[in-house]
Amino acid sequence: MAQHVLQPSSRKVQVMPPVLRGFLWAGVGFLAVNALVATLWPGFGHPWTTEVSLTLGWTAALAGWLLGVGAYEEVVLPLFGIRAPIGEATGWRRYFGFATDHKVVGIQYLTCSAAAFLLAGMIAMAMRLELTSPTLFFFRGSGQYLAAVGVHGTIMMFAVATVALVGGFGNYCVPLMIGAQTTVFPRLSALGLWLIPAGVLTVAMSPLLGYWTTGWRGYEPLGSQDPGGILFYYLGVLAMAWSSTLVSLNLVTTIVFCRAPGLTWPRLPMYVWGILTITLLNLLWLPEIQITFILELLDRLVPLNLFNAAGQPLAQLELFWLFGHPEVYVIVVPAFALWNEIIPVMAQKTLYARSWAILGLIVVMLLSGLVWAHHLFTNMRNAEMIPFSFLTEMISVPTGFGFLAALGTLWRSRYRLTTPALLVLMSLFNFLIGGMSGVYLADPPVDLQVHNTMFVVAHFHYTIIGGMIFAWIAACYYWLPKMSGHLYNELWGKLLALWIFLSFNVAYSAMFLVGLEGMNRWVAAYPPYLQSLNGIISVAAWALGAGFLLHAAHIVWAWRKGPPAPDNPWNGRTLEWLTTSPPPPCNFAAVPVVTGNFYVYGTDVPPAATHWDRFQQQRETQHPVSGSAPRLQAATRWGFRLFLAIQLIPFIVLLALRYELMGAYVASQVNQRLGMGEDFFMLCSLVSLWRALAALPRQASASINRRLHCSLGLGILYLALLTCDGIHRAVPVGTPYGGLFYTTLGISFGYTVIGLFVLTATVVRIRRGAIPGHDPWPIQAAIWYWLFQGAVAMATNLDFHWL
Amino acid sequence: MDFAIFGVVWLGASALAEWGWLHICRQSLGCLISNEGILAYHAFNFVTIVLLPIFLFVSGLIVFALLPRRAGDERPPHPCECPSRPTFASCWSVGTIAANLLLWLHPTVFDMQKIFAAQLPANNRHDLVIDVTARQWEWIFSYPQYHLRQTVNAAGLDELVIPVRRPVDFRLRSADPFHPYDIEADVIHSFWIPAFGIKEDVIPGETRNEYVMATQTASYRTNPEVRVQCAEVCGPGHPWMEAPVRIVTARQFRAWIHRQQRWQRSRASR
Repeated sequence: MAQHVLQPSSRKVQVMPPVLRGFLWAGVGFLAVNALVATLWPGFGHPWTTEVSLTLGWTAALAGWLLGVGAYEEVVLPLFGIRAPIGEATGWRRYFGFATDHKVVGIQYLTCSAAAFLLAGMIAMAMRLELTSPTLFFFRGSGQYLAAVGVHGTIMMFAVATVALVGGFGNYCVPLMIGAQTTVFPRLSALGLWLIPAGVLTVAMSPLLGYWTTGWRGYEPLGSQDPGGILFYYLGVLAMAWSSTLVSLNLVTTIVFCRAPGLTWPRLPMYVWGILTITLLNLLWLPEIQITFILELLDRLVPLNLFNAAGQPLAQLELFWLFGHPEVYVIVVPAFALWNEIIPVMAQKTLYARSWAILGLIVVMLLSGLVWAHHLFTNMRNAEMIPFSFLTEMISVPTGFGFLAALGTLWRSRYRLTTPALLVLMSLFNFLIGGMSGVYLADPPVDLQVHNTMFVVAHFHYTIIGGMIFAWIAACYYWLPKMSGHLYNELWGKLLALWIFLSFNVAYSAMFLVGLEGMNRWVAAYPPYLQSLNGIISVAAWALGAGFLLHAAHIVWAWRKGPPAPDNPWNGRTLEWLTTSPPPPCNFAAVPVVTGNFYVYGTDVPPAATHWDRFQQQRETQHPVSGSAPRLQAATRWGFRLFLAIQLIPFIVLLALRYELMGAYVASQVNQRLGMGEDFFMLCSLVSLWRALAALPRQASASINRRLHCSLGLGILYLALLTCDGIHRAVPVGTPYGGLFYTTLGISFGYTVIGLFVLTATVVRIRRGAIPGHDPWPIQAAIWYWLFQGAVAMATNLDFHWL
Repeated sequence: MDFAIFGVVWLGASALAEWGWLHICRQSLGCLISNEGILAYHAFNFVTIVLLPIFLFVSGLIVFALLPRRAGDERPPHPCECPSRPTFASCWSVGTIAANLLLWLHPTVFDMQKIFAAQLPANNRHDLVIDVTARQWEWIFSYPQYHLRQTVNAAGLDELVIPVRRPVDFRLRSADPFHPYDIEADVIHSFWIPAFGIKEDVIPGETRNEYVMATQTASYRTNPEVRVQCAEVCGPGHPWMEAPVRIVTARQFRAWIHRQQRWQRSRASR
């Protein structure tokens, strides 16, 4: 079981394989915490596992899993200033451990997404088997079928559709395309990857706790009444959403700070533009959905009565779709960008209307948060329908710019009909149908008929499978030579592309019809008159599933045994084609310099070069070069501030919810004395730490250490008072106001615990001999985090106790 | 030359498609027999008529890229060649904005005006009021104007009967009158009669109104779309949360009401 890992000092150390160790630690963590909670706090039903013990046990399991796969050596020990006893694995073992190389992380994400696609796809095949008959015959009960629907949708959304092109190809290609040698937060990225398998397994295991029936949206109040499986839906989604947040933070910082010399914003490749826009969306909306899911989880465990008849059920629907519609664009915008990445290369023709296409991506991003309420036309006042209908129809204008650029480039070109080229055209065609069916859904009179029917199911499968999955497969074939150094078989690639295109279109065009004829969603049984169309859909869907499997087999074959590929098989001009196939660990032998536009053909001048004689002096004097130490430091600081900024979003949501639920308020009886004490301790702690920050440049180790200890102690006193506030229960728990009060205090409590952990680590670090002035950033970061969480804690405290 | 060929093919295909839509497929939205449904039906067809040429234009350009270049056309295309550069992009943007504005004004805004007008209290003074209670998993219909608490058919299943061409005011609530201790403990349902072309979510803690008028007689026996169907997932019983509907003449409706009142009295006396 043990494996040998090369240590920097080349001494061999015996360690367990990371994934095995992760499972072991997760199991131990779960059993210990679950047993502890179930013993200390019985009376929630089952003697061995209660919903509370499961939630806390799962949290311990997740921590154990992450530490086990490598976070212990690569994150926790360095935080305390201890050098890890082992280095990173080499060879194939890199893919099964904690990897800081963005190319390895990209391939790990792609593999995880493909595995999740296979798993959720098998569930879809079973659902189609059930739907061949108007009565229930395959699943054991309607609840089991609905749990299958929920697991399918959740995994497809959070581990495939929003991950494959972002965590996968985003991680692999973006640093290559911008000429960077690494990403800014490689360890964060390595950590985030392992949240995906944890989340997928959690959601896949959810039926063990009972067949939850809400589907991937978790509508309340059904969610709080469902069997326990929905617990693992909330927790699994939390893990996967964290993974996407970390990917987004890493990629956006990398794109802003690590571009090669000469790679100005107007020259940025299309795919990088696509990833940049959607990572911003992710950073804005993922924290929002995470706090929503935490609220739903607490609503179920406590209960808080936030989202039932006593509170406001619509509030949950609104919070869900506020995130849910931008999520849709997180899925398809990278696909739009891929069309215009691949088409000019395959046509060897200048990309038409490039600035329009970029403008389209940006405007789609901006509008995506303004169209969400079209999911709720059956829940709206009349006057609200008209603006949302308008914005929904108008978002097709910037989307159309992606088509404009693609079609203008294709016009009269000598398009090389390779497999990726063909799949891109298919993605264009499918998304055309997906988008046009959206026009019907944007019109409320038609939507009120087809809403929640199979018409809608066909519509979003056309956009997601037809648009994004087809583009994903195209990207797999397009970048396969770069990633593996091998070519695929052109004949098989095209035949299989045709196969999935035909079966996909048969299945989902018939699904439009079955929706128009009155078949609603989430049904394991339906009126018999719909059976023949459902039979056609099922047969075509199985063919589609088989087609995806064959594509996977073909790609795996090509990866291992395909004919060797040259460095630049497509004659592409973006930077990733300048390096070898597969690229070396540092990506480029020499830093590339960009001198021209990647998308202009008909000229012999290359857009970039890997030597940089005449640029060297000129650039170095202007600003630090990407990858250089000062530049990376600036990037780290910027990314850290961005991270703090998005941590404010949960509080904004909680505040907004308080105003939305104002009608459900009860007279609040908060304990103002406790609140005053909390604020006093926190203020003292902040002042003390602020002075430590000021002492940092003077390198006064003793004084910094004293102040750190002081604020640590004050922070613990603050936590103690906060705990009293919780135990005191001056505000009744089961009311919406009380729910929001305790949730806000709880989140603030969590942030403070993290802050205390980081401060403690810093104290240990300094005690172990780290000189504060020598490498000030880790200490500064710890202090800034504490100042941030303290300010937030004080602000929320003031708000609740006095306003 | 390419422009001309493409233009002619596109116009011809569009004309053919429009003809086909108007003469063969125009019933695609299903059989709709209410005032709201007829609006949806016309909107659906209008949107399709606008979208068909756009669909054929874009997919035509995609197919055009697949065609091998003609043998006579030996001149390699200039890498920058595009359909006369800025003109195409400008026409495209103006065209998409115009099409969207058109579709927003008509059908969306015009139809919404009609729907809003139909919902004004002044226009609904003499409606037939039907209280609809959605519970997990049953639709309960009561007719307060006729003092009917729960209407059922001969088999004892909930039944909805509506007189033709009389405005109906459905008052929708999600609650469980049979719950042992908490009648508000129910979930979101959605009240949908596929043949009526409209649905409305039923939210716990809210009472909502849906105004609709049936335009012809029909019955679940002859048309399976004439049924009440829950359209929002509400637990394992969701697929079976349906009720048959009959749309009858005013005279049949009166007879049915009398029968229901008789049944209710006999149940009460038992």
